[in-house]
Amino acid sequence: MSSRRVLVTGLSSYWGGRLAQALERHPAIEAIVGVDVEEPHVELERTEFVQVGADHALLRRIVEAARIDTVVDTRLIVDSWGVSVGELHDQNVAGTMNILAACSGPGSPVRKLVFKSSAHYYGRHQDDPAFFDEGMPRTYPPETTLEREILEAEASVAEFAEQRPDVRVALLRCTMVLGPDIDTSHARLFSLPVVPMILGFDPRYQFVHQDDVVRALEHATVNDLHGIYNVAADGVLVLSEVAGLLGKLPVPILPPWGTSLATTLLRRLGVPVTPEMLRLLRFGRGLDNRRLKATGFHYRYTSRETVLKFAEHLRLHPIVRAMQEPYRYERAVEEFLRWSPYVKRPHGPEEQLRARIAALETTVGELERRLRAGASPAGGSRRRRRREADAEGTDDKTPVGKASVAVEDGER
Amino acid sequence: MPRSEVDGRAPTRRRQMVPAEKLPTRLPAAAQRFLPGIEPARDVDDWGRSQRLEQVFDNTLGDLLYDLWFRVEASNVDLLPSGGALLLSHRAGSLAPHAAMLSRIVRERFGPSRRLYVLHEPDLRAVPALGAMLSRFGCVPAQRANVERLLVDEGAFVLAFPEPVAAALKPLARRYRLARFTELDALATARAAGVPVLGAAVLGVEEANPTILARPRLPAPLRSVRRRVGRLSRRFPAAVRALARLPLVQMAFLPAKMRIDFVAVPDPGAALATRDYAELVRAAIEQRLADMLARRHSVWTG
Repeated sequence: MSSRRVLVTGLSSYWGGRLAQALERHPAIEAIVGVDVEEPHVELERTEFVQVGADHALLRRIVEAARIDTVVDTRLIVDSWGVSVGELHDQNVAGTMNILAACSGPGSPVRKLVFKSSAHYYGRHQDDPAFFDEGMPRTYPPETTLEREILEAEASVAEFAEQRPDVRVALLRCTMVLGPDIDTSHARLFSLPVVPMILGFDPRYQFVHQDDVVRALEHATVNDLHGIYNVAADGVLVLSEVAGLLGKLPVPILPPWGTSLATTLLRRLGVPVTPEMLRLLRFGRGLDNRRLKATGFHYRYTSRETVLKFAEHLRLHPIVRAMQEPYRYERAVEEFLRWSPYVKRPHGPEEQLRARIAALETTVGELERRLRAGASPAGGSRRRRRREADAEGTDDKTPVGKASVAVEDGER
Repeated sequence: MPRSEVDGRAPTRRRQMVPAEKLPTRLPAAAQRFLPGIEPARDVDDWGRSQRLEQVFDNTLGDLLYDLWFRVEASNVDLLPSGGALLLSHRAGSLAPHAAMLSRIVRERFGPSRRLYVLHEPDLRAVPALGAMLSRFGCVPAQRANVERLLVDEGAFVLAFPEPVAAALKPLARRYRLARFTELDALATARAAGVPVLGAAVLGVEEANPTILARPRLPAPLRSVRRRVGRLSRRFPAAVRALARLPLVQMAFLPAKMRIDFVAVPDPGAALATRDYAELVRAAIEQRLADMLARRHSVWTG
């Protein structure tokens, strides 16, 4: 089923905004509606923003009124740094249930749901497999609040999928994301002058670039995907290797026992060590990413390249930061840009028509020039024409080339 | 945050076990070909194996052990298939020196790009420094998913020790008597996927790494005390529990002459259960060891 009318939740989040921008490039998608409590932070051309919370009654009205056939949920909080327990629960569990309730109902037009989840679903323990594939369960029960909330949210999605077999549900479990625009606890950790490690452990880390996550969401939205997919780049690095690529020193300052006590001190110093990160610093995690690749998706960056790009950002950010002005959403301005007939849209249909007319005028002018240039000698005219066309970069198969050859033959 | 394995202590709740027969079906065959490519700039592979460290070991201690210390001789090396195989061998002490010797044999036969991955107990991953060092040398936790990916998807050579861990503690007088194979996950995976299985009989390794003093047998009244301590020890850090399984005292490697012989046991297929096939392999390895023992003149010279 091809998506034509898409609702993106969490439009003010990085993922929602970037996804909406990506979907705007698909002419087959005729309507994009974004919802969120806060205003978007990216510039959008034809995405309709509706400022609304996760109230399922209001969302259902929007879904039914706009005949939304695809809902993409990007709101899930996957990093517990700076987020309270209540906010985690509201956003991850209650918010997800509200979205699913809005998609349910006997007359609901929704035929596809894309849910962005996290690889925290799998956890990380000593006897985990080296690569988790989508069918593997956790080896231990969840031990942190974030993991519990993510499991609950995914359980709600699974229940929805069972109750609505007519809806295609694609669930994307994303591993650690790195990128110039995304602020995560791991990004902050790697921004420190040294990379802290647990003494005696060099865990395996797998990353994905922020652009690849957006492309994966876009891929899941516009293609007919159904099921669970891991989103992780090729390659699993060890933490010392990551530190080397970042040009930083790996420092094993955390003790292997009593680690939580040591990290409490670090947190007081502002070092973003979350409970989920502690286990990753000990055992790491790898994901099997082949199922998504088998659907035709290609990653632009490997894990190593993702880290290198992030290292580049760390070096350039202090210089570039001062030159960039952040986007600010103003409703009146957005409405003027979208609806006013006086706004010249570079990619609108009128502009495309003008571009085609200009191209035809150029072609006709070229033909006239050649006609005025006069007939060429009879022998070898076609061969000489081909040589000239090769030199010019055209041939006698193009309209200009064919017309020129026809003129030559007519004059002969 | 609940205090659990983050502090190095065992979890208070029982582990969520998934029986082997209930493991979900694997990726479809078409997806198996989307394995990540090799990045030449990287020294460490996706399993944590360090090419540079292995080369340093091979060029120094590895060559010394293979050529001078153990004076390894290998037979029936042509049985090793080019597409990867599961090698089953007997345990010999806590640190099996023949794993490095077998790795050298595979490398010499198929080139430096083909390496042997050695399966180890998952608990060792929790031991500081040891877990990281093992992965640098191509040791992988013995889990079904890991074995499947290595054997079936990557076509690698994998060495497994199907005897129970306690078999590493057997006294010198019982050397070359193989215990019944109990760690059968790797074998079951290989059989299900049609990957060749070979036995590796290594004469000399159990004299090179003898167990001089294992845990003593306690008098009956003290055994119940030890059982209670054992129950309490489940709360100890996983690393301490893993270390406690190692024999109490073991000497460094002695210069015993090592002969390695590969044994192929035809697999009748699904008609024979994995446990029964494992018994055939065990018997074949033991018989080959007995044959080599009968021909041996000296432990040190062969």
